[in-house]
Amino acid sequence: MISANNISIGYGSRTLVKDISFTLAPGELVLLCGPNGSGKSSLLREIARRYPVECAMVPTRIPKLKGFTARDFLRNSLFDRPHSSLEVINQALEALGLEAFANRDISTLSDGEFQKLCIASGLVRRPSCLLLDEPTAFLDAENRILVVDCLRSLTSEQALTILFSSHDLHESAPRASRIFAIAPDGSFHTGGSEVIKKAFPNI
Amino acid sequence: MKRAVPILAAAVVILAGADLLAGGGGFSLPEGVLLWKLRVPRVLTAILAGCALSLSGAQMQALFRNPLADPHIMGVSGGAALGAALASLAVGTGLWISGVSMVAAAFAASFLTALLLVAVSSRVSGNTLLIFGVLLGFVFSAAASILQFTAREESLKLFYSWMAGSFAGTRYLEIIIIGAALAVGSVIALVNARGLDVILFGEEYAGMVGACPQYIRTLSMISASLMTAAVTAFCGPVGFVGIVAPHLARRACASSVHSRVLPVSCLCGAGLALAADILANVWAIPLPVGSTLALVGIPMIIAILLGR
Repeated sequence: MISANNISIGYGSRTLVKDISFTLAPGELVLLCGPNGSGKSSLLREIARRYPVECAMVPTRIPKLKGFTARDFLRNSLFDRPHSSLEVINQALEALGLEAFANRDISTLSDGEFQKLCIASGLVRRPSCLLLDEPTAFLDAENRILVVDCLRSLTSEQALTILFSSHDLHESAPRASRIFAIAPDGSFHTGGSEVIKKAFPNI
Repeated sequence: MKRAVPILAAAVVILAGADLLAGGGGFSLPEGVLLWKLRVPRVLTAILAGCALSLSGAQMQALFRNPLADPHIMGVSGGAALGAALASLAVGTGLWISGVSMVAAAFAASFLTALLLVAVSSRVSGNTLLIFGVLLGFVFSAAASILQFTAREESLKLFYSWMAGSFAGTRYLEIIIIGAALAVGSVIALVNARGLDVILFGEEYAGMVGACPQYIRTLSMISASLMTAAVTAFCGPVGFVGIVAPHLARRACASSVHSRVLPVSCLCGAGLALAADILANVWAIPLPVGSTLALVGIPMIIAILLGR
């Protein structure tokens, strides 16, 4: 079980978010929202640091390099576990419907397909919780929904916990089972869609 | 693409045979001493140097995520040149021992440069290190220019002939030294191959998958600079192999996965070095290999850059 009790996020002497308390249950899809620079990425990184075994940070802003197949890429993501079986990779490809792309060069994948492959690269590490920092940034509306739906089915089918940050509240909030919001004043709110109004009264 | 490796290997064998015949104003097979003391060492040096430089280049390109990176750009051979220039100043004075002192100075200086890069690499990110290396190279070449400006003619002649680059004139002991550096360097490179794959996707990603970017960087810097220092000390600052060969290897494998690219880079590098050596030695007066490599290598770099 991943939880936080009254932690603060910041750097140097500056506190970005204070009084963060939450627990994450299996099967939850949690949206983390807040303005740019409010500490979303820092919070995700802090959770990954506190739970290195349970949580896998999903790479969301990496280059689509030529010369690596989807399978090579997933094998890279098991860098510290060179003896993992091929089965793990096949299962991750299957979970995201990427079997047909297994031997395709990743530079030829669309941005949406590549984002799904990045999620698969978190899955191969067999975590109980996936952390994603803005997985839908730079995607068009259709692909944004595709990616969030894909996260949603992972939580329900595999009893995974997923915490992802996003600025696309209209698409993401209705699909999330819970919302974490960081208000402009650095306060931390959790709850249903009503917390968005509470944290950001001006939008 | 599976056929690429046998074809490349066959090409290297044919080029090695042709290089053995190249010399004396055309192609001919000399006998006895000439063959064993001149031709065979030259061919072996070209092959080993080609392998060593291409492995160095492949590692640097992954490390800096820059298609043009190689140890020469990082100032390692600039350091070697400064060392050689310093040693050549001693010609004609009591301090001058023999040509060995220039080689030793070049080796020491390039290795010190590499150690400096390794030390800095643990503190800064990839791009900063690249800038640091390039600037270091400029400082070294400025210092070497000042030395040349004040040097006597016999010093300059010696220095320029080293700078021109050549695979000829190496003795077996020197070949063994280059070979030993290649052996150590290539083992490190192959052990680190997965690390190179991971670091290509960025240091943050490397951290996410449980790799230590600093460790990967330090290992490959040690490997690349050891090999470059050995080759540069004996053969002069020979460029372009390190940049071109890894690109050819990625084409040939249709992959960037280093466990495949590194061995194929060796084949490409050896082939390039042999081709340049043939081109340098078929004339009545041998040409500098540094120049023939540029003639062979630069069109290839341009083709690679335009063909992306």
